[in-house]
Amino acid sequence: METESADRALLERKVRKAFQVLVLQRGRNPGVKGWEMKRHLGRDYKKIIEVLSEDVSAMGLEVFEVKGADGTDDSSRFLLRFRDPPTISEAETSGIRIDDLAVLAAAIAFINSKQGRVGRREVEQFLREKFPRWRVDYSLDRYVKRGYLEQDDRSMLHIGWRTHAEVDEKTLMTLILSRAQEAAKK
Amino acid sequence: MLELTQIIKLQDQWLKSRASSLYIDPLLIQLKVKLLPKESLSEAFIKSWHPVAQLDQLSPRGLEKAFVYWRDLIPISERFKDQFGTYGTRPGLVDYSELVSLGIFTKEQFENDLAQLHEELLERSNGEWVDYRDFIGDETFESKVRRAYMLAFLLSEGRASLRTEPLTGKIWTMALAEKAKGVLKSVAISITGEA
Repeated sequence: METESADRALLERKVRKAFQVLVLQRGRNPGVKGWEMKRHLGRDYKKIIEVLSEDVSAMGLEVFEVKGADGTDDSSRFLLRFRDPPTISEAETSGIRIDDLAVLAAAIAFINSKQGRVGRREVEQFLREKFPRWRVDYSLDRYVKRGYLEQDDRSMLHIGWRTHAEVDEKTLMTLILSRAQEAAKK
Repeated sequence: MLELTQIIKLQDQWLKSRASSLYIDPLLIQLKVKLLPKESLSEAFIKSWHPVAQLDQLSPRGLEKAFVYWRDLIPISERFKDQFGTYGTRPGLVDYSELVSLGIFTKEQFENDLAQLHEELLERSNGEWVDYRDFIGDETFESKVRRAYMLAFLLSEGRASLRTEPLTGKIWTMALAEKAKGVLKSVAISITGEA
């Protein structure tokens, strides 16, 4: 009985620790790598993260795992994020410009349709058919800087880690396709 | 071997992308995006968006970094001195009396130097126009500025004349044996460190 309560207390302490580790920004980018979580919480850190994710669901949050380049748990990045997307009015009141989001949505869809990598110039040409040149240049630079897109030394654009972390890309592609059909019918 | 593994890696990515529902014909996507109003595009994004929840705070390490940055920050008047010269004082006019008061010239020395420069210009121009930049050009930038400054005195006193060619950007000067009369015109000429 005593052992059970001690285990429970230990688990609670570790879950609290996991929450603190996730919520406090350490480096430039949000989130904590798997190896770092292991250092703070021990080998069973993934189980603790699962418990935490359940606990924070009452607050509309979840712990999300972004797989790293080599696919190992150590290289994964764990983040605390909104469980459900914000409403449109919530997003608007957070100061995000609708036009900027539209550029990002179009860029993500285009890059994904080109197998995840495409020359920046090609993306720019595509976006300029719909948005003014200054907005395209400004928004692309901004989204590269914020991690939504990645630009390599050959000026190829990829989907950035932040998009993988924050955007349900399948839903985005489906919504774009279905809404376009609705728009065409109108 | 490395190139071969890279090719296999790319092929793997290509297959994964094709197999996932993220793969859609690029032409189809281009068409769909063109059809959609911007509001619908951003709405599609918002509906698939889960923003990261995070607390921005000042850590003791961040505070230390800020302190070190502030401590080592060079005053603004010194910061860009290497690239742009001093920012300590704004550009302004230094007149003859101020130069005398600063001890850069004595009145006699200045008059002598002015007379010498007039003589030199008289000899070199000999009734012809000479290139202004050739004439003021000297070994050091300081002496070049000094000659330009003194030539400006000769010009405003009417002991020399200046002609500009706006199309070519050429500037010509000529010494006058007698003081010119008439209306004076101002010409702004930049002096650079280049030869």
